[in-house]
Amino acid sequence: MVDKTGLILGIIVAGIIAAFAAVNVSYTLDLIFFLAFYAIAALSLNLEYGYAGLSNFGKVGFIAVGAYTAGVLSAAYGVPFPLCLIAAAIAAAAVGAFIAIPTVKLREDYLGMSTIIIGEMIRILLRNTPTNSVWGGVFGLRGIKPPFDFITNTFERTIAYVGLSVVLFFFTYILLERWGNSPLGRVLKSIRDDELASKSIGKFTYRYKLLALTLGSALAGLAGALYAFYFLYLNPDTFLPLVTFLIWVMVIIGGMANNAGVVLGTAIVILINRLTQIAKDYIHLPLEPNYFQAMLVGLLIILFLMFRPQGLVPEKPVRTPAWRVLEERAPKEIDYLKEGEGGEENE
Amino acid sequence: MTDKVIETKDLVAGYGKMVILHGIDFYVTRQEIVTIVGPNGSGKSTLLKAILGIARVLKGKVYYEGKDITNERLDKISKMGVGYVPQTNNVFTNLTVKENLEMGAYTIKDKKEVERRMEEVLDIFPDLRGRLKQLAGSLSGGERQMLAMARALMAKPKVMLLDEPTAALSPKYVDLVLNKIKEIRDSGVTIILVEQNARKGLEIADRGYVLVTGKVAYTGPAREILEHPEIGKLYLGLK
Amino acid sequence: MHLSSRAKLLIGLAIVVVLAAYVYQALGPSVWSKVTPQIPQIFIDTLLLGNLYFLIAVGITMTFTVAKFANFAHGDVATVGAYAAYLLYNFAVLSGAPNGFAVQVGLVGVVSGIILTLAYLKTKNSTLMVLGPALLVMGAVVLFACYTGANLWEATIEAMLASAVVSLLSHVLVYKPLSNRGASLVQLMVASIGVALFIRYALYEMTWYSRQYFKQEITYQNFGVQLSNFQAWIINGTLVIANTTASFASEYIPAIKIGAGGIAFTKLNALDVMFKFPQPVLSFTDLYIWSTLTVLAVIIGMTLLFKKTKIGKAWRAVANNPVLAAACGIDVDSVVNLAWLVAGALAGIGGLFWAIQTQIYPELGWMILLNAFAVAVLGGLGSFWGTFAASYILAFAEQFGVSVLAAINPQYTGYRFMIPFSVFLLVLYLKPEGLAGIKTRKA
Ligand SMILES: Nc1ncnc2c1ncn2[C@@H]1O[C@H](COP(=O)(O)OP(=O)(O)OP(=O)(O)O)[C@@H](O)[C@H]1O
Ligand SMILES: [Mg+2]
Repeated sequence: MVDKTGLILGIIVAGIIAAFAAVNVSYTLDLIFFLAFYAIAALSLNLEYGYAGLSNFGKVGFIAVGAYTAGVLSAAYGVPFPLCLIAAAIAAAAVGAFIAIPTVKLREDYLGMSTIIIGEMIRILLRNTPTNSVWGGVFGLRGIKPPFDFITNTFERTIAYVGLSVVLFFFTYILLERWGNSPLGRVLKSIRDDELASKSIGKFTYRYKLLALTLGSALAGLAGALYAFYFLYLNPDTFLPLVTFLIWVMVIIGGMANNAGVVLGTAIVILINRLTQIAKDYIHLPLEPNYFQAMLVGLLIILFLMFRPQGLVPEKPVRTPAWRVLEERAPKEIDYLKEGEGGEENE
Repeated sequence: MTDKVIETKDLVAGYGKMVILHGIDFYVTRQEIVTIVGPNGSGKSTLLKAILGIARVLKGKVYYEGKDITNERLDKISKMGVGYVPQTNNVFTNLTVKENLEMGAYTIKDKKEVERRMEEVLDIFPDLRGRLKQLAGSLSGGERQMLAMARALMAKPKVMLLDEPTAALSPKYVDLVLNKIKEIRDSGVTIILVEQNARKGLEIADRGYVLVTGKVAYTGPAREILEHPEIGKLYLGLK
Repeated sequence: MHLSSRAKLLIGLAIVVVLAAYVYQALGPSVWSKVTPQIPQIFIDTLLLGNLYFLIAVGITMTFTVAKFANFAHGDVATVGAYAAYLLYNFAVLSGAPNGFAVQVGLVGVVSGIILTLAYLKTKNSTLMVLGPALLVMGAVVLFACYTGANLWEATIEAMLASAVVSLLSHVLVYKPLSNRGASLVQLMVASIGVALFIRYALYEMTWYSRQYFKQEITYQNFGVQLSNFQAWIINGTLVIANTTASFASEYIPAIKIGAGGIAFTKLNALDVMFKFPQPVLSFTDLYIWSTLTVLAVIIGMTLLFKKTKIGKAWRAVANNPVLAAACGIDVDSVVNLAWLVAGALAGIGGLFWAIQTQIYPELGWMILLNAFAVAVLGGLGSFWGTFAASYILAFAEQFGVSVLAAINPQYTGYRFMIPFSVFLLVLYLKPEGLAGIKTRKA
């Protein structure tokens, strides 16, 4: 039995995007950019949480580091666009490693609490930068040099930029798929599932976690840089913790440790967002839609964790020889397990 | 009315996704000592936990004095008169010895009764008397084991489930603890004992069960198991 | 490369000391001469801020000890209490006449409270046992306030109950079912973030609703409590404390003189105080006193609870070993419910005090939460006394740091938030087990 939920939803999502494209091309381009941006961020979180079990609640902070690194380099020093992307990834990775060093060997709570604090710390720092400097403080950072400025037609330029973002998304996806299926990825999963058992393979767990958080942060930084060059303007207050949790919802809905699922989750969250934005003009509820959406994010997190913790597209179990033996020898017990899985009664 | 105090029928149980016990039939009658022996990981502790509602029973039934208590909550089972001493983490390390004993008598409302109980229990375990103010976390292994049993006795249980009470104790302490168990039984308590030390455990027992990979490999009077030509050699390391 | 954790701590502390000495040197006397006279004020401000931190952080510690995960919704639970109190205090009575809307809210509370209490009598469900009476009292307080005018006591009760109820509900509806299904630590944390978002944006929705339909702005408002202002001087070796707010009402203001000759109550001439007295060494408000008394009550209450009462000992037992506690016949669920309830109630008072001290807005609890996390981690996550000490240490670091920043350049005070966070980072690097770790090492 193969679970087809993922496939069906994927087709629906693709259909909706195609429908958008038929109606309004530049709106669709914008949508595609956001899909690519969030997908990269969500994939990076999946690397950290889905594969290595690291609870990074400060994702938005790393995105901000990437965005501001790229923004400042471009606006103040005129550094060329590709170099800015690289620098953004490196800067975010450095911050990620700085935080990972003391925290990844601690319990998950510490990492969670530290990362969320650091995410906010970064935003508050950015808010308090002098308004007359290139950083711009609460007024935001302006003067980022547009990429692809050799293309004169702005529409074509947008197409080129969105195209590049999509290419970078595919690059990330393939990189992480390779990772996930490599021995390294399996080590990460084993760390996530059983800290104790994987301790027996020595202090490597520490290095792997460090690596996962550093690489995850680098990708978040890259996403941030893409964001900076798309809007050519940055404001600290766009990097609110809510963004982090939006990304978490994407991973949880999609299914952890499943990159395709996470991309699907990203698309679903963004489409829900866009569709409610559109619906708001037609349907009037005694509710403020933006706040309502955030409530919905909270509710979705809870409901998914409760009723479908594996996400829409569950992680494929690694069929080790032992599992096959179990299937052969104890089919009855496996049935009990399957019964028990669905509805566990508790008073 | 049956005189089986605890009985399991075709018990299949485990943890989450793992099935550990594959159809166990087990019983203990009043004032018996029944010893469960078996290799490491054979599911001895899990059997106790399944009886107590800690491990999940997937199939089969657990009866206490004829009542179905399958997957009942542990606090309810314990209120019915079932005492339990786990294999590990069997004292409250952040509470003093006295507070541990008080917790054992949690279900007894009358303060005078609790004090009387404490005196009785301390008479059985006099070593604890001098350590009432000490944190249980700072006790030695043997003292902890004593405290764990004393704590379980506080509630005046009708039946006690003891999971390897002699593990990691010096030989002197082992005999001491096993003698205490006999004493407790003689005072009218039914005992289910899980023992690593098969010979000693079976010597004080009336009947025994040999558990191997989650199944009952052999059961019968304790003496029979001890003298069985193969069972002992195969599973229990007895000569 | 491989340093023992003690060596690391020592090296780290040495670096911190050197850095501090350098900063001290670099800032020079011009800065320190401004900071030194403020030191008494810094201490008393530390007291207030520490109290406020403690009331929030202690709840995080409490639920952590029984549920074993960091509750990210705790701050928002506090906001709910603050809003409940704010709405009661400001809107239960409208220009002397009972406000129709508030009366309805009160009635709904009373009726649902009665229904749930009756449901408890039928089902003996331990959650309903708490929920029913809590709603009943909340409703009754609203009704009472509608006819007599709300006072701060009623607002406090309302804040405690509202937060306690939300805290308990979040546990019963979300965390408990999740952990029964075997959710991991991270999943529980994420779920609590879900709860946090839901509560916070529900409050945002409420402020929007109020603006839209009642034309009443209820966000970024002052709480509306008139705080009395006290000032203290040292004159001829005696400490004089006067309630300067009273100068608005009368010519003479009440004062206390504390000196070698004993304690005496007097009245001072308001004009004298205003024009002839020197710069006060200290100034503080009612809130300093209320919060200190509350913290004292909490500490004494918790100590008695944990050391003397059966339920308190059961609480410690459950925190230490839930399976064994159940084997003793302790109803673990009820004890855990109690922990969530108490944590919520304290968050309610904390939220109320924060709102009085600053402003009321839906993000209030979230802003405090991050500081409270820093406190909880510094305190060693789950240690009661560690949390207590950490509250005042962080508060002092913040107050002292702000004074220094202000002395350098008043604009720098915007970095105030960085101070507790930097201390937090430092702890993470040097002593991740926090203060409790230091204590257990010695024992
Ligand atoms: N909480 C748990 N979750 C998952 N598996 C468990 C758990 N507790 C025990 N097991 C597994 O169940 C099997 C049986 O364990 P159990 O503790 O019942 O063995 P035992 O016979 O008591 O062994 P020992 O003599 O070492 O105490 C073991 O393979 C063990 O790894
Ligand atoms: Mg065992």
